[in-house]
Amino acid sequence: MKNLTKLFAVLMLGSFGHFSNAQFHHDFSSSTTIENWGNAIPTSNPGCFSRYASPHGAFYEYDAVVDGIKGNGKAIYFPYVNYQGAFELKIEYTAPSSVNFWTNFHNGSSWTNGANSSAPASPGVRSTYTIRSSNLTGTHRFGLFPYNEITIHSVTITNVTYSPGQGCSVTNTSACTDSDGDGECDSTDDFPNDADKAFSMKSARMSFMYEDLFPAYGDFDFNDLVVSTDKEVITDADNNLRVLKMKVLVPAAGGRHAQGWAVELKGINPSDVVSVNGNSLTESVVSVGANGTENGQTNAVVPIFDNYQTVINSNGGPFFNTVASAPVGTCDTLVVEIEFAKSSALTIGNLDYNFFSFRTDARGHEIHEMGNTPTDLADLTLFGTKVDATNLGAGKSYESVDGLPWAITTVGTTYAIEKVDFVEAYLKFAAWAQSGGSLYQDWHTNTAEGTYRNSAKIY
Amino acid sequence: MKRTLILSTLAVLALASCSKEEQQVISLPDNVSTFRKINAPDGFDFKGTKTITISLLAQSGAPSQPSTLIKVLDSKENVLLKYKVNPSEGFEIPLEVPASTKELIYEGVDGSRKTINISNNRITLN
Repeated sequence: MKNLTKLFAVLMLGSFGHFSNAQFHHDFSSSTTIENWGNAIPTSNPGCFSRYASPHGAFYEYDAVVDGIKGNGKAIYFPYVNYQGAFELKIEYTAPSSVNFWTNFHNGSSWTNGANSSAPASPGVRSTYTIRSSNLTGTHRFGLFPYNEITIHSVTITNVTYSPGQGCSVTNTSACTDSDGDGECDSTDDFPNDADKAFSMKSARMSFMYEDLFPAYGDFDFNDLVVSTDKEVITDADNNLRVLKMKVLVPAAGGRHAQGWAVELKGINPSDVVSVNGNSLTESVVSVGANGTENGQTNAVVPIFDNYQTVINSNGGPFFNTVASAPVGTCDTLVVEIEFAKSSALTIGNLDYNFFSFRTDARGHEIHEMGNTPTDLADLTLFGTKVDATNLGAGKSYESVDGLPWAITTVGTTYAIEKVDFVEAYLKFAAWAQSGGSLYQDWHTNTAEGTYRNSAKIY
Repeated sequence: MKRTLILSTLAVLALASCSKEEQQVISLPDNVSTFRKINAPDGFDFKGTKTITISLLAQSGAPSQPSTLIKVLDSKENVLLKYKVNPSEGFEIPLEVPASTKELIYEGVDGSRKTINISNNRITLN
């Protein structure tokens, strides 16, 4: 995963810059005035079309009959536009026969990318000539020098910005409405009035269930701490990761120890995080920096809560929502927002989650999913004690001597009641595990009574 | 003990090819009456998620062109990925999904959709 993320980051850095839906489009069926061009490249009115005038003749003026402008062995320059890398320049034309021409881009002082080309044509049939490139930046005007008669009907240049000029009439049709100017059309922008956000992505709710006696075995009801989270990832119009938003609930807690919950974002530097908001830190067990990430960590670690007892409204008993006959308690909904710096150039592909619980009275006492690594602040002396068989050098972590976990994750939302062995509640769980996850992948979501679950043992 | 476990595993695998109705009457292996007796294969991590790699292969020889917006959705219409991509360059991105996910929906820039199976934890959009 880590290598994959690195590969992805390299690909992204090498491939993409800013993308925009801005464009220049002009249709010559509209009223068009064209600036005359003498012997020098005109720069005084950069927003205008320019043509060779005296002494060479020129592209004809707007011709209502042909619905375009005619040229024959002459030249026309399009208005200056600002290129941003990749673009597509498309000319719609008709001609009596195939047309040979020379094209170039002029930046106000020199030519660039000059090329001879040929475009097929059939009398009376509109054709399209297209130029695509990925690496033109800055202000240029496109020049077309045809050697044969050609009538241009329209021109479209994508991913460029255009400023209207004086002394001419050029009607530019924008590609779309882009209220926040971030380069993404309102129609596809999930945040049309926020230039820092463009795309929202949401994933299925996940539940994390813990046994809290690590590194010893417990009662295997996996309800000592149950945490559910919905994740929303928000990126900007350039695919940059900007916000990770998590809605977090604690539906149940039937353990002996007060616990906190956090997420390590593997491979993401703490300095990539701008801020953390919405979490609940009421104890003194976690030390965080100004940006809300935990101090002393190589990767960004964001504590969600440091004591579940502060985010639940207990029913008064020793266990929270794990005893069927006890009054039902409620839990708060935490909406935690982690903001990332645009300059970090992270993408959604850089998100590599490592959720874990920790004891409120012992920060280093972490419990992760099997195979996930401890954070820098984990108490490594716990490994290899009691029934834990962690061997970090061999890639084994939070795994017992019998190959069993202390944490289970699932898309389901129910859980076993207090002191009930998990396999007695979810009847296909063992078969799922013993098949290596290939069978009964719906062990948690299938509600078939008596075959998939024993509802009497499920809260 | 080991022999019993092997036989149980074989029985489970054999029944996996049966119809859904037949699967629903399968009971737990007799020897797995408690969590502690689960004998999962080495490397199985009990996670409910998996990481898949979503890729769009670069169109060989195609000219570079402006980016387009693609989407990847799950069967419940959750938009898992929205990404601006240059088709001539392609992309590759890891994404975490529920372990039971077998296919995803790819929505192209023109709004057309196609369902793509996940194979070896990879999904190729073109």
